[in-house]
Amino acid sequence: MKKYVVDKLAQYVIVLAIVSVIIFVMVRLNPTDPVSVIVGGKQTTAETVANIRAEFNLDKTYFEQYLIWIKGIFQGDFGTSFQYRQNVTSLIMKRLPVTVGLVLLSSVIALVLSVPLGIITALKQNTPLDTGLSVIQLILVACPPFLTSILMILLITIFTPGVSFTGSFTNFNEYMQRILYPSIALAFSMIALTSRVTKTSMIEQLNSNYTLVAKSKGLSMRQRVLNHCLKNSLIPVITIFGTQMGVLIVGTVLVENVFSLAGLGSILIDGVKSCDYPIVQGIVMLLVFVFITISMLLDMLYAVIDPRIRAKSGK
Amino acid sequence: MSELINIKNLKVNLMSPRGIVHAVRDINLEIAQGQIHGLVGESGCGKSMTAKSIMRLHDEKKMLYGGEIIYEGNTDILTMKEKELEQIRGKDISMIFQDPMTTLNPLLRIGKQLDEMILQHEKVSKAEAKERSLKLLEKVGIFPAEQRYKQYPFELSGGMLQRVSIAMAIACNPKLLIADESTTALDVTVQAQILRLIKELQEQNGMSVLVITHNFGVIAEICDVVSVMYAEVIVEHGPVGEIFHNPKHPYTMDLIQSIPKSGERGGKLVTIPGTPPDLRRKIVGCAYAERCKYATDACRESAPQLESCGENHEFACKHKFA
Repeated sequence: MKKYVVDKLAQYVIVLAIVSVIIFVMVRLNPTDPVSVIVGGKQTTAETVANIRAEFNLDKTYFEQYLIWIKGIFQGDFGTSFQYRQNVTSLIMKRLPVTVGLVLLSSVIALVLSVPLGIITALKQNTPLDTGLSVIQLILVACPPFLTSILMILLITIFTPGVSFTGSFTNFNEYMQRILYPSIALAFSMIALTSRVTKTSMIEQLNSNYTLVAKSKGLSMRQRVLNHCLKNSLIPVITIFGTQMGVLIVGTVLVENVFSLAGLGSILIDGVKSCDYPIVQGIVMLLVFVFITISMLLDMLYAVIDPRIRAKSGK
Repeated sequence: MSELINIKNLKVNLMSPRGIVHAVRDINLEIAQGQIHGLVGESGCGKSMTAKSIMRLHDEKKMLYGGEIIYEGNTDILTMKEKELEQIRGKDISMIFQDPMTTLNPLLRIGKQLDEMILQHEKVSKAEAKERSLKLLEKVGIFPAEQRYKQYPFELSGGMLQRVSIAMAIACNPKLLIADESTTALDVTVQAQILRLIKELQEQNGMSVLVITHNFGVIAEICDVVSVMYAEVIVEHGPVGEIFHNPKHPYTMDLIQSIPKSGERGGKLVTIPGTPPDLRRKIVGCAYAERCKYATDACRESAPQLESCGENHEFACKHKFA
């Protein structure tokens, strides 16, 4: 187990390092000169331009810029935004609760609904219930989160007019109200895929030899599913859930926009438009960091569930 | 001796997209109390199907049963409700399966899977269940029991896992133990050990055992009585000695002929030409006629019935071999 954890941690660090380089390069592939955005098209002297370049370290080589950026990250400083002239860290921190809330709440909703849904459709395989639920799943998987969001806003305003669900918030209750609907919209696309994977994997386990043995031991259907098949069928579900987290994080950017929530999404899009290197770098790095961390934790979870993985990687 | 299980005209039909498959055509089988009963036949002849029917283990959305399986002279297993079946499975009738590598849940400890069987059928505490599981492990020759109890299936060898399966199957002192090709996946020396273990346990508990195999060697080793199956019907049955030394049905004769003999080297292995009939087709006459060297027109016209020839010995063939 120890070796497994160490291996995974090493992989994790290497991936983060590579990703940071990729992000840094990609941001700079944009042909626009950030200085022109910073001065906002005003008449400027060569001296002012040089000053601005010096202020934002744009006069240094790319390699030096990269080192400054990485050094800053380790000190919790993502640099200064070109357009807001503010510290990126504090900008992110102010908007983080919305994005984190969205990701967490939508994944909880997705998990809580999709695993039981997968089990039910597996048990009721080829019945009208299964067919009906499969059609709904297909529709959900085909709907991008922003479309679901727009439809949801429509439905909410039609059926409960006057309820405020967008804009800023001042207390926890309001916060939950703000993030609930976008989370549901985000969760939908996740439920569809996760429940299908749960279903397939559960059917496979139900047809396995050990389940037949469990039946021959006199265990009821319920016991067979809950005590034997569930744990076995969750392994592929964890895999798919991990990759879906990435989709989810990207989805928050869109959904925040539709629900006009002050999350990371809106400043990220602004940042891309105005060539604001520190903002884009900082936020993308943070999202990638979260995504990779989740994947790593899920890898660890495999080992907790499956003794064979623990053994293979040495004690 | 009275019958524990009496199978009367059992039919099992499997609904497949390409039509009904007759997995078991018409089986009559009596399993006496305290006996080891062998059921032998080639692959796909319906042996396992028959065995699984005794515990109603088939997926009944796709299966249709016909006939009766009378348990202890009064209840028909085929008409039991699922709840009643759950009481019988594991407690009165239990089963050991073919591939020990896949019959245990890979994610649960050996001990937990053993305890589960005991806790399911008996009102005992977890500590008592553990106590009994450890004794069972020792009984089937797994040492050190305490350590194995905590291990996962992938940490044990095939032979050991099959021992664990046996321990699990006998945990609640069943009246009937069904061993469905239980030694097929194991190598020969382990096979012999497992067979000896089953025989020993049978002698201790006085339970009945139904041994399903395609291997006449296994039958010779432990069985008291044997039934020979061909194309989903029983063609001959009788005491093991009788069947070996005085077989009446040509199929039984051919099967015994084809057992490789030790000491004979270089000779060609005797085989039975041809293949068993298609299970989807309706069979007219004797199913073995196509492959039988004694077949006549009479054989192809109508099916022979089981006839008695001596004590407990019956066979279904129109020819009477002395």
